[in-house]
Amino acid sequence: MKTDSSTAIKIKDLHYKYKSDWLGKPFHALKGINLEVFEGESFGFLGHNGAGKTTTIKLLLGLTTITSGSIKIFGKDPKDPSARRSVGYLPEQPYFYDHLTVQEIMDMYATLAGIKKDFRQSAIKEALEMVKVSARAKSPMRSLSKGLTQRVAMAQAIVGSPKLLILDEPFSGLDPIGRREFADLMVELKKRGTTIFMSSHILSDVEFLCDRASIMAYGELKGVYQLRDIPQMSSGSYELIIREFDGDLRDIKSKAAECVIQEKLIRLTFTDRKTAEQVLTEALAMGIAIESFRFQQGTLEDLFVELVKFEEAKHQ
Amino acid sequence: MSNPNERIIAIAINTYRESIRSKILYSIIFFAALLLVVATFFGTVTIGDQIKVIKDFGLFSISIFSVAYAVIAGAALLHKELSRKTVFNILAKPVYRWEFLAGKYFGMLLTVAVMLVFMGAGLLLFAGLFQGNADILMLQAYYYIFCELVIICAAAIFFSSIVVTPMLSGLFTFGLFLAGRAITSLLYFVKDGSVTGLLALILKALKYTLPNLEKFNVSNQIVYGHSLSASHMFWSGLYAAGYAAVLLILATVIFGRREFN
Repeated sequence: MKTDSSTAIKIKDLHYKYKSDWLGKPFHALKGINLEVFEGESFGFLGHNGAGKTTTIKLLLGLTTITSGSIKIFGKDPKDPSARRSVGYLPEQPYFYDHLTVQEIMDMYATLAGIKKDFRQSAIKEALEMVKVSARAKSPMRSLSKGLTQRVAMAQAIVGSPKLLILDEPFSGLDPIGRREFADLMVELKKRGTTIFMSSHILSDVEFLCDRASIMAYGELKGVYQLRDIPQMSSGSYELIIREFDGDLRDIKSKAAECVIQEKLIRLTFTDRKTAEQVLTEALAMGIAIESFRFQQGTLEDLFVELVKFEEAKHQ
Repeated sequence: MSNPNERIIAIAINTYRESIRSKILYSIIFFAALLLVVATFFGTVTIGDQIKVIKDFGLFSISIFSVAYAVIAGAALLHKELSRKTVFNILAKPVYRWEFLAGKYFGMLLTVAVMLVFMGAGLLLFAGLFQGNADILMLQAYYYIFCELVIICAAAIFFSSIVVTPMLSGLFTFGLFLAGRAITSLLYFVKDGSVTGLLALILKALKYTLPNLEKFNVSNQIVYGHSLSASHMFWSGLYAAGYAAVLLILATVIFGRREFN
């Protein structure tokens, strides 16, 4: 049983309403969120665009005021600056002052983070080395590419080794090498005991990096999942790929949950084994060329799509 | 947590660095220098003392261009922070909102001070070339221009924190500057009875709310070689600091309640 002291983030019945214009109704962006993120874990915070992820993150950082409910960061109200002493934040699409150099930016953020003068330069050096931008320390921010800017944003988030990292789309703007390096960095930070709370649309990365993940849809938290349990949670699917065929395929296609035609191949997806095997037998009997037949385990992406689509249908 | 001074200084230094490296500042200094050259031309065609015209025009251009910079840069200051969301990154650190505003204010003030030093030194040198020696009395005029800027920069921060667009914020700040300069002259009409009734009441009320910027317009005295007393300088400085403090406190209250949606 986790205790309060081992909870990095505790959100209790959180509601947030955006104020309306003069006559409109306020927009209920968050509807009773309850969530706990434990110290030392990596947590994926997922949701479709407009689900309420960024609003929640802003509330976690004290940038906006909750309508009702409560948020605690290591037991403290995020509006209290001392609560943010233990937090590093990487914003979505980070932007820095154009005319300042990387070193100047880092100096400022390290000071603001409360790192003592004697340790500041070594902390900055370490952070820049971790994100591999030490060589560009003297470059003005305006000369950096999007990927390098993202690395500086990560450096300012991790400077001084905060206990909790809140990362909003950390992989945005990175090339595949950058993505891999960021993922390795996160694994390293987690080993050091840092709690990671990240929102991302790249679900494979979340699956690889996180212990647990939550899915938000339309301002509600739909579930919190142990990522290692996801393959068991979902029944998975069966995929049959056949070559294009001149005969009548209507019967076969109608039995599939999904049918995608790609060039000369037809990909059929079945949700149950019995139907899949039955179609496979029929296809063989008809003389259709089979490319492959395999079982696919359920992924976080499957779960996410399924859940969001279901909610979408409810809201239409 | 580090101490508030350290955080304010860190924000101020970077605001200053960002401003001093931007092109707007240099354009303004260029136009101020250009006006000084024009003043020399006027000096040659004006009956009277050429050096007085140069000093008068020079002080006017330093004052007006410094105010213009404070209005333009100040108006965009918070707006840029909000639209580019750089403010999120800063406020996500253990920083109070008032510290952020104070840092921005002092950074802006440092920029106009450095600008004033450069333009002032230029005028001193330029007038010295015509006069044969440097007029130290000009330093007093610079002090009063700086006092006025202490208020204008605070007004720019105040209006930036209450209005959304930089254009409106700039207009309000410039409007405050104009009204602050004109209020003494307008009250003259109340005194001599040409303005009465509601308008007179409004003007009297404005006297107590608007900053009396005419107090800092001492170029006439300086140009004609009249020095201002130390007590006048002290009280004027205190007045500027007090007025700016009120504006900054109000800005802090408003900015503190702001929702960053």
